Amino acid sequence: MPTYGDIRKWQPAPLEATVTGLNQRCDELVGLSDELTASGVPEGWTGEAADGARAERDRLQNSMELLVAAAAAVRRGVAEASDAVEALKHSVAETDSIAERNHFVIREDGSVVDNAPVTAHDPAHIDEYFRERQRVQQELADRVEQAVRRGTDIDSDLAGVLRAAEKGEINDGGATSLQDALNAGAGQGGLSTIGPPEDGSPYDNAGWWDSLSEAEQQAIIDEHPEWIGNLDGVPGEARDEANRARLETERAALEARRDELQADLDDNWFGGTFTSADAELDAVNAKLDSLDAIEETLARPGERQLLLLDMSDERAEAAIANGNIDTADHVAVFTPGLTSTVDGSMGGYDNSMAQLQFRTEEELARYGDGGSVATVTWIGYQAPQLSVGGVLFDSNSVLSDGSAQRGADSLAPFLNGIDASRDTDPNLTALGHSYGSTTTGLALQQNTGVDSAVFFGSPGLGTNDVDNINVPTGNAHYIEARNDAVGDLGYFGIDPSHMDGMNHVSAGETTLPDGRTLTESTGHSAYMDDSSTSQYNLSVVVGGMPDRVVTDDGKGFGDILSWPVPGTY
Amino acid sequence: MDHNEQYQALSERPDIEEAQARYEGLLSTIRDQLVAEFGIAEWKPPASPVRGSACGPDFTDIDADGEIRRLSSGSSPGNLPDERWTAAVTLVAETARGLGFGDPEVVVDRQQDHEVSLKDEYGAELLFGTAANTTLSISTGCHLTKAAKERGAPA
Repeated sequence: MPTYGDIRKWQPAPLEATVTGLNQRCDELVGLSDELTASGVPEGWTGEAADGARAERDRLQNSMELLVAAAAAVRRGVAEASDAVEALKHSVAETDSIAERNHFVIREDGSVVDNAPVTAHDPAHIDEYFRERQRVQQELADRVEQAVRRGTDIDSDLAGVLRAAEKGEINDGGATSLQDALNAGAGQGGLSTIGPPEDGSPYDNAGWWDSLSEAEQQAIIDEHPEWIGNLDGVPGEARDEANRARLETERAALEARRDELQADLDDNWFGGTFTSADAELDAVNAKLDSLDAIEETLARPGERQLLLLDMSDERAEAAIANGNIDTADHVAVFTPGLTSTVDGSMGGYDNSMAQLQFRTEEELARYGDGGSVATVTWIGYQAPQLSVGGVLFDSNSVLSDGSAQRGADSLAPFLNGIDASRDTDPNLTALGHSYGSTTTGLALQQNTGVDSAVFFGSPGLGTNDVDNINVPTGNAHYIEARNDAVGDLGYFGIDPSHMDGMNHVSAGETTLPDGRTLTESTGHSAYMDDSSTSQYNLSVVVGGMPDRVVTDDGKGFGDILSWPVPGTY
Repeated sequence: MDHNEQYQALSERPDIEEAQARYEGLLSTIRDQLVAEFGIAEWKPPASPVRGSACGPDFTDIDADGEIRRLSSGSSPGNLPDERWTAAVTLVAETARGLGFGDPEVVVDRQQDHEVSLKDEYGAELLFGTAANTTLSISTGCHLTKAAKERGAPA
């Protein structure tokens, strides 16, 4: 197995030169075809000697066909290895560049060593420092692992082709001409397509994707879109292309299941009374409605990316970006809460995210450097629903944090994957509303690389301590509107209004220092209303201008009731 | 309003393609006027000058039949000087009035930092401002798609 140090030294140029040489030899061999056919048996020559000459010519022809097939197999194998090594070389260069920029050293054996200069760190931020070092080290280790996996795969595949050629195991496919033999041989020289790492981290996935040539990447999008559509760490553009390609297949499968269930119900005298067919039919129809909502949203003007498409659970899951998460300077990921579904909520939330993107970009254009913004609506979990059964008996009940925990385990790698898939990280903000803020709060207790967070109308963040929210100190924000009872529940941890170290920002009517008047949001569902103080606060954090937020340390009546008793949390 | 009433209300408006064309024409005229008459720098267009999404809370039942669009002009690098701001607003307001926009309302007004908002009967908002750069944009109100309007009834 090659080491990382071996792979670092690999060069595509000698392989390219070999291909050039093989091209010439193959052309020469195939060029002998006519001569071979005409030679050995002059017209009109009959008898025993002629039969012998004909047999000898046929034997020679067969040998030539096998030789041409073997040469063609080797030529294709070396050519594909050359492309693969070129891609791998770029991936290794990128990995080494990340290491150098962050003061790490990658040894020949692939081990990653922290080589940061010894400097004094603010004790108040030492945890953040080590968390970030750990994150980068993990990224490098995973990328190295994938480079070695890919290098081993190329080496093994090419060795297999060469060995087969050497042992005469490349057949000519029953060819009767040298050209046919050439084609048959080429068909046996292709290198395999290496699949994504099993249970890989976003950094593993990014390292794997980077190690593929463009042709291999496109082949995967075309032939195995299910491999990458939901694979965190793969760039948004590739995920989008793969997921759009999957829409038709998913629809066909759901329609087939719907017809099957409908036929069962029609054939059963008792309908769905004694079976679960009618409930499943409702779920399938909701998923079909979800596909409609996704396609409607994607068809709207402006760039969008379908970053997640999953029909495997009870309800559809999807994530749609306004803008391009691969190139935007600022990326925000919004997680909604209770009752959110793809079929019922995607259009409205996408509209709010589109308006947030627009407001943020216009603000950046007027005041700043015109940075670009992408805003993602992430419905990538089974958000609790409000039916009686859903509240009391469902494993995703709003009364439990089970759904939020599972959602957090999906959201954290999604967030990490945005950084992992890019050469340069964007300013990444996580936005969480209601139960979605619990999901976001739990996700951010992992090491996600998120730069800022804004929670709003939260029943709790899954912690009582803002230090457990792993964003840089001072970058966690909380908005609570007047008369938002959910924001005062303090059900999944204390009411964030009482968290020390949290930036409490306003949802009230405001006149900004520049004279702008913004409206108040009241209740639980108006935080993203256009021209509201709350929306403005979201936009300036998303746009990397947190110094512009409108703060609000006031406490409402509900906050007084939800004040945690010291010593009890 | 129920679904049918929402559709009927929107059918009184131009469809979204007509609306976009009219607003784009207005923005283009204003951009040219500002460059020609106020000497501001040439506009740098944005990567996506037109974006759209579903209609907002006033037309929740319209779904795929309706759309709002956001038309950005990008920015003209640099500040439009304070002493010429009022004249620039007058020009923008007069031009926009021709398309049914009302009087400008001050959003921001301080030294080297100004913005006004103008609205029309369909809920469109024209924003014109200047600070580090000068910006101009329109968010449309909700309009039926061309196909939905031609259909003559809700889907």
